[in-house]
Amino acid sequence: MKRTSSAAGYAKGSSWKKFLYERKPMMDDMKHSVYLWKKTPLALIGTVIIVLFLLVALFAPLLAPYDPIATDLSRKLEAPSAAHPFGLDQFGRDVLSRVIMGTRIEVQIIFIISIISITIGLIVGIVAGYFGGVIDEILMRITDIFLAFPRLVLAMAFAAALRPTLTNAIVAISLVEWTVYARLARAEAIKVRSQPYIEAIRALGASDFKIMFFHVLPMSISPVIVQLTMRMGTIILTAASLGFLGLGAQPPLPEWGAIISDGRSYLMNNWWITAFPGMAIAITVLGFNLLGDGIRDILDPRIRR
Amino acid sequence: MQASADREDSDILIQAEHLKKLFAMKKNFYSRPLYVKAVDDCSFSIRKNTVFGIVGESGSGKTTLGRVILRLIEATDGSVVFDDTDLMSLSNKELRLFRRRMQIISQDPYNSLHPRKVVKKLIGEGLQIHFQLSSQEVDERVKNILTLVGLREEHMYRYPHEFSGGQRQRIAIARALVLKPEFIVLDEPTSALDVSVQAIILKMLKELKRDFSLTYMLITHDLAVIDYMADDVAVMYLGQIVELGSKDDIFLRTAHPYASLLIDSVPPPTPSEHWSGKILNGEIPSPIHVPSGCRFHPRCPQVQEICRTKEPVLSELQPGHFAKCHFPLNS
Amino acid sequence: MQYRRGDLLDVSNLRVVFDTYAGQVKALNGVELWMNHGERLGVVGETGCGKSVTALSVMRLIEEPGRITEGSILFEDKDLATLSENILNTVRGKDIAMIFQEPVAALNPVMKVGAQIVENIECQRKSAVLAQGARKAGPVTDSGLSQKHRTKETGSVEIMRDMLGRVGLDWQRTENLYPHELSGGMAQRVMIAMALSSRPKLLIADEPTSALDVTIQAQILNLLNNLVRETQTAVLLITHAMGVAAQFCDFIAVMYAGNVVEYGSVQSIFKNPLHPYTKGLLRAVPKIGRTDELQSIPGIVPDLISPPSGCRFHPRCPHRRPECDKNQPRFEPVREELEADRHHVACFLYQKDL
Repeated sequence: MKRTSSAAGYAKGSSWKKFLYERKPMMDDMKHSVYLWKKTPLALIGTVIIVLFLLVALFAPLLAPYDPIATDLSRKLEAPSAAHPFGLDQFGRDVLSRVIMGTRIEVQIIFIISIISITIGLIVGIVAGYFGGVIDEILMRITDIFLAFPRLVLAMAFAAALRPTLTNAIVAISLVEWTVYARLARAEAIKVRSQPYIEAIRALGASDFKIMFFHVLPMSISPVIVQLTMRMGTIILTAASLGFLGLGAQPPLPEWGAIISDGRSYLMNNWWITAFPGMAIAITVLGFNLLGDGIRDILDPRIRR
Repeated sequence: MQASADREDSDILIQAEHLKKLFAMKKNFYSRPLYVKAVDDCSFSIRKNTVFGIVGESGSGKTTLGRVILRLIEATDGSVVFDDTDLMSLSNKELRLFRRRMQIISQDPYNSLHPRKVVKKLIGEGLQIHFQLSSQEVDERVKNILTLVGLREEHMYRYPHEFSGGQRQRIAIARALVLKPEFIVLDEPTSALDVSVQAIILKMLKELKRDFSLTYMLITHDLAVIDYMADDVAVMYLGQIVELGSKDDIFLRTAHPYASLLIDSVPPPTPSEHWSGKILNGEIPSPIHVPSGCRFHPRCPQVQEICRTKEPVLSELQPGHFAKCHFPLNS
Repeated sequence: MQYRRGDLLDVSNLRVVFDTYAGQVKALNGVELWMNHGERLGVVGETGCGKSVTALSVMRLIEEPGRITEGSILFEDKDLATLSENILNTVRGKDIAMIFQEPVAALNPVMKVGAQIVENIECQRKSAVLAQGARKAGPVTDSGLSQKHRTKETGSVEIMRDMLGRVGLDWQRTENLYPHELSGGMAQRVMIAMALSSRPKLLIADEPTSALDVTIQAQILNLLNNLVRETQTAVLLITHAMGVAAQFCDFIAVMYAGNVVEYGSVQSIFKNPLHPYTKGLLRAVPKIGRTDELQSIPGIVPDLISPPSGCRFHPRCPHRRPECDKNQPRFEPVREELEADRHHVACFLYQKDL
């Protein structure tokens, strides 16, 4: 019934109605996604955490009560109070403001690393999986070389070799991260390339480039997106680790790992300097993991239909 | 004979010679590869505006043969001449442009359409590759072709999963037809469909063939479908054509024991008709280790000594009727 | 107790629904079919007509989100629709066995086929003993099994080998194979051996040959034919292939959109089809040597979430009458024909009193 009425709308409706009609399947699909998403409470919690995290990053200058870099040595190491809920660090900087401003740096790190690593990963993975044979062997052996080193060690080596700055830390982590997506995309591309619909497109005379990036890619991307969300937590941890080791963001930048690193010598008596950024890291990582799980469930075709 | 006279008069659209396709299989990295002889020395020609049927059990290589003809799988050896063009000599780019003239409709209507593309995109894809058309023109042609295959204009913006199996097969047919091809390989076009839907699709394919003077190569395991659609038939067994001839040659003057048993295996859909119940024993052997001599000899009811050692040749029994057997029936 | 139409199985007014995201799928809408001991009933119909759901309901294997909402499934003296799970387990596998379309998928991939058949035989024996115990002295636990039963277990391997031989397999070669090492035809033979090893009274075969080549299909049908004739096993054969039903069965039930629209002896259905759907279906079947054009049934199979009112076939029916979309036609015997043909049809064209 519903279908016939919308079909009639299509036939004689305005261009706006036509536009809506054309997108109806997409809308239905999204509605179904929202329905599934509502049915998984953990994904909901994850989403709330991540949305809060992004909002804090967006409005950080408005939310931060003090200048995160301004020092006040006279009030250094002051314990949490009403005026300074997270206390003050060894230079008298407000820890709350530093954690809030830190979200901006974390978002920046995640965003850039995701884009770089997913681009390299998808290209390498899909090309390898689609062509197979020698091309696959070469690309995958290169990937294996990157995979053979422990992630953090490789990132540390890169960061140390390229001078320790935030940009170099991002480059270093990206160079390690892409391998994950390359492997995944390759596995998916191998699965997809033997599907009859890919053969059908080949039979139409489409070029390899077109098939790879307009037909194989859209079908291979869901597991990559899920993995990306799940790995965002790890990316934050790696960035924080590099910061902690002094190989990432440099003081006085309020990167969470660097803040913890700064505060570690005061851990015994002035716990608040490290505890609050630590909690921020933990909650954000948890949020990304929950969200990743949720997205995986929502995109899972077995659950969908 | 009448049939053979027709054959010589009408033009040949496709001439396949000694087609071979071996797939290398390796147990592990170090082992010597074993070869699966999927298609082994098949030669035949397809006349213009006819339906060339290929029938065989699973594992007979009929699907591979269909792909090799279109160069969707590269042949190991042999040649395919399509209306004076040697397909094997085309470069990749030339082949891509040539694909407009030859299309394929495959078995599985549930997987042959990209699940993330709407019908308009699925059908318009080929148009965009082969013709420089404005988006209005693409729209127009997609609409026309949809009406032609019995779908409606408003189906343009739906995803494949919203359609039934029969409707999807119509979309696949529209996608092939929109390019105005001359030759279409139909790979089990209806085996995933219910009988009532199968009837509609087969009828439609017949009408389209007449209206657009198409040539079909129909690959199927269903002899009744072959009987309904085909003009010429090739029976395949283990990668080889064992019998080749007009439809009447195959069904009325069956020469190869395998073809005969295959026809007898089909239960007639009326209880009054007695099912001969002649059973072909055993199963199709592995295409890696093919039997010596005649490949059918381990299952053949009238096997003789010579069949075990000497491979028969595909010899002409009557004009246009070939069989690969030392002791053909009805001769 | 209501009037019994078949002394082995009598399914009446069976209704099954599935609750899904999109709505309630009314999969079975009052299915009627019955059969006597040793008979072969073919259930034919197209995808989505409910023939597999019917088979699963008889085994009470309908799982969430599906459920039986109404109707009875009388099997001998029990109503399977309401039987408790415990007693049901003594019927399943023992008195009713089932074979499937994908035999390889129905076998345990990590267990040798011989061992699987033996396990099945022993499981049936155990449940038989449990069933006896249940009748005599209430619930019996596993440890309470009699010594007599234990000593009998040694016979299971012999039964397994005998069964493999009877389905045309060499037990020495076959019993130690894993399912993935079997071809489709061999796997279906193993399934048949397993199903018949407990000497069931009813064998439900859900598209047993649809995944097989014609030559293998002929082998399997021939084998099944001989085995069930020997053992007097009744067969409920679910199939979409008219040829298979015509050649194998004594009686046919034609299903459409969750209803049995026509039922009767194979002769009466094929010679004198009455329901417009049956007629259309038979005209659509291609056949070797057939010269006339194929006829198809216009329209599509209805969506069972919001099925058509009245007769579910009415939107596609060429003989539609005004009453067809108002009431569901009764499933009634065709009076002019022999009683032995059991010809029944659910169509207003043949309801004399209207």
